Amino acid sequence: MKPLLKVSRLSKRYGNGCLFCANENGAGLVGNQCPHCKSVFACRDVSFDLFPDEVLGIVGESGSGKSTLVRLLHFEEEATGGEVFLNASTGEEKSQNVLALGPFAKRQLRNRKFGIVYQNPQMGLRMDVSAGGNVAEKLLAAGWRNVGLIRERAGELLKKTEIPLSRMDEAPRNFSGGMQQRVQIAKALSNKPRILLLDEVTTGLDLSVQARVLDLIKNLQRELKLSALVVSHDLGVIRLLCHRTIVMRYGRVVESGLTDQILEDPQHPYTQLLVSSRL
Amino acid sequence: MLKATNLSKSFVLHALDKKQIDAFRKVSFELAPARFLGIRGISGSGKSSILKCIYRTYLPTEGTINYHSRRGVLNLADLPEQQILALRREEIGFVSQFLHVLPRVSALDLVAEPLWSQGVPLPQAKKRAKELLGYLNIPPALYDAYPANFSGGEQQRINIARAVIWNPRLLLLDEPTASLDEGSVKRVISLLRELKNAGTAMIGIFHDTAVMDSIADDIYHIKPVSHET
Amino acid sequence: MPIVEKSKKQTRQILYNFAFLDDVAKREIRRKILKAVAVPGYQVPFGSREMPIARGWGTGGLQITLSLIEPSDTLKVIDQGCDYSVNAVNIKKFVQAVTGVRITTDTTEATLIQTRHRIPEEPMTEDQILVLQVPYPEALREVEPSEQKTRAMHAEGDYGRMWLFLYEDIIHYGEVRLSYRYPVLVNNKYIMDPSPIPRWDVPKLNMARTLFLFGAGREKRIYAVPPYTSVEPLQFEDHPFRVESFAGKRCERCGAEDTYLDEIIAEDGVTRHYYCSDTSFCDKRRRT
Ligand SMILES: Nc1ncnc2c1ncn2[C@@H]1O[C@H](COP(=O)(O)OP(=O)(O)OP(=O)(O)O)[C@@H](O)[C@H]1O
Ligand SMILES: Nc1ncnc2c1ncn2[C@@H]1O[C@H](COP(=O)(O)OP(=O)(O)OP(=O)(O)O)[C@@H](O)[C@H]1O
Ligand SMILES: [Mg+2]
Ligand SMILES: [Mg+2]
Ligand SMILES: [Zn+2]
Repeated sequence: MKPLLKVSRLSKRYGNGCLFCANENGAGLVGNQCPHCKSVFACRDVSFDLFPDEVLGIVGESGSGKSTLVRLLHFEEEATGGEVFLNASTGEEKSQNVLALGPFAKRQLRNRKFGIVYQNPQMGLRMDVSAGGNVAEKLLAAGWRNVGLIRERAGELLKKTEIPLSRMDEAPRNFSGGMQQRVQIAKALSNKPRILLLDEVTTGLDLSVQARVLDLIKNLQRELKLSALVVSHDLGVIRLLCHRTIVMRYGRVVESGLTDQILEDPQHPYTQLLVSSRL
Repeated sequence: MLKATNLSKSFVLHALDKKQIDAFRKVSFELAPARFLGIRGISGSGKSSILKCIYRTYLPTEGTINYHSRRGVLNLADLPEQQILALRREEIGFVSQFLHVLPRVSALDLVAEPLWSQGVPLPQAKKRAKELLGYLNIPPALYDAYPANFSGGEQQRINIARAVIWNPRLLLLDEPTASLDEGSVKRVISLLRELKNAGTAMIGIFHDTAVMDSIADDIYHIKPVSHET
Repeated sequence: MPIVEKSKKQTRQILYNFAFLDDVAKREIRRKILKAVAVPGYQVPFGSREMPIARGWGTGGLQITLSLIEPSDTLKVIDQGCDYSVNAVNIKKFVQAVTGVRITTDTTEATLIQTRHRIPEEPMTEDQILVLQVPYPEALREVEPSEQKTRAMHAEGDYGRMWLFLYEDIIHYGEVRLSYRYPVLVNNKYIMDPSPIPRWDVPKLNMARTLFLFGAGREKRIYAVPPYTSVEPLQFEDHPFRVESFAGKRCERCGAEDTYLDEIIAEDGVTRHYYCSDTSFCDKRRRT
């Protein structure tokens, strides 16, 4: 089986770097930062594969580079190194380093292949545009020009995510956190993405609401045959959703493996600490 | 069907000054199709760890586990993760004492799901799930309830039903009847026997010797690793 | 600098170039116009000059007019359809003073027409140019405040948000509420602000025989719709673009039923009167 997404030595440095940190590729850093020029190495040589229908977990302490990684893959940030290959297993495209594409092609790819859900709904939703409009945006960008059909599709997605249709024309500003998250999910699914990027989607929600959101994601993932990248602090979430998991620290991948193996037989000292501190 | 050779597992605990714990050492055994291999040994001798190594929840430290899959002979000890995941989907099942499930999935859906994943239409899968739950004495009132809140015994029976429903080629059982009453245990055993007769090979751990003897064709005795090191 | 009107005819020719602008300025503006024509609907930045009228009063259109005008041209200037508003008259006076060209109010007679907020009712030809004054050249400004971002949106054809804006209007109000500056897609590529013309005039831009030039002085942008270019108002299949309806109304001066009408409320505050917005066309019809 061919990976859907192949990430190879992906790196992101905030700051210009200096003689001390540039060549060593971060060897002399304090945590993820250069002590001389204060550049932050948010992601360092991150490599992994994401397979069709696979859910890959990303865990790691705060600041380890998880969100940066997601933003790099969603073309919201420019990588400072590395390559990303998107290899549609359907054979519709040749493998290509998508980071080398121009802005237009990147946006097309983002609109067609990716869906993203942010921890903070403010990032993912236009709070003053109706819930239906939020879901419709990518359809409009993709050339849908029939209000009736757009509403039908947006309605379907909102129904799937358990937003009452009676609230479709309301702005999500006044929705509860769980509802906003579900509108985000509906929006992320609108373009029938191949890859879903979920960054801490349940953090900050009540336990029962968390459960509903998790359920929803799991069911959608299976029903729609999506691949997903799930960033979470919560190892319980990771256990429930992810087939495999990678562990990040100071911008690097320190360990990767089957999720149950990572949780029950962690190899790296840092992973052992992470897993045991949960108990 | 499965042959473990010189299999060992040890844990390195970094927080404890890289202390090494040997779960089991140099274990070898063989399993034929449609046979049940029981593992017996005192607490802490490494029984659960062996099953977890086969399922690859644990990474074996040394040795090989040659498994005759539909795709040919594969060494589970160092098989790439994607292939392990495929085997877990298609051939190898695991029943533990504990249930790790989504909080809001109904018992019926949970049990039907593995069969549905094999490509059986959902109504049929649910029908079979109902039969199994009924056979295992789960009251119909619980079919639509969420097993996340079930009692330990109920959860175990859900686990068994989930494993049995899809006829895996190899089934690993870690104390699947630990908190069941006698009547339920009998029913579980007869389900497992049916499955075995249909061709499934099994490796199982049962706390209760009598239960073990009622199903096991062979027994592997494991001696605890002495911890003088 | 001496004021044009006060100087004697001979001295004026020494003090000023023909059409006020110096050659460098004209050359730059003409180049920018050529670029605008080559890329229909694309906003070309230009070095907007100080004009002896205030910015926001048509300096963008005026600079285009002055850089194109020749002694043989016949000029018409209108403001919201009217040839005699103070603004139109001032511009006319100024251009005539610095060029000496013939001035007309007849659309068919003019070779060059500068206008604010209307396109004349009478069809124009390949031999004419219409210069439109533009206060806000960026059609996407409503949805994106940053100039850098709107430029990127144009470059990438990233128009989802503009469509979303229209969609929201339709679901909340049943229709797109824009009555002026209705966004159009030019040549299937760029979304363009057609300047504050009423919807009535928007279809006149499509596949027209005339060259339309748009000038925004304050915002320093020139853009163009060349002849025979497709210009489509943004619309949904099930909510098509519609122009204003004057069904059952007619111009009280010339009787026209097929023109854009201005509505005037009488002093009693109740009675409404309707007159052609294009005054010279109205006059013409009354004469014949
Ligand atoms: N725009 C930025 N400029 C400078 N540094 C940044 C920027 N964005 C992130 N960083 C730094 O990059 C590192 C990785 O940040 P990132 O947000 O990816 O972490 P994270 O793993 O998602 O953390 P959390 O779990 O808290 O969300 C941090 O040290 C952060 O301070
Ligand atoms: N994940 C782990 N990390 C560290 N040590 C472990 C781990 N799993 C098992 N061990 C150790 O390995 C040894 C064997 O444990 P295991 O659970 O396999 O025994 P068991 O035979 O199943 O015991 P029981 O009958 O009590 O279930 C024990 O010393 C145990 O503490
Ligand atoms: Mg983050
Ligand atoms: Mg055990
Ligand atoms: Zn540095």
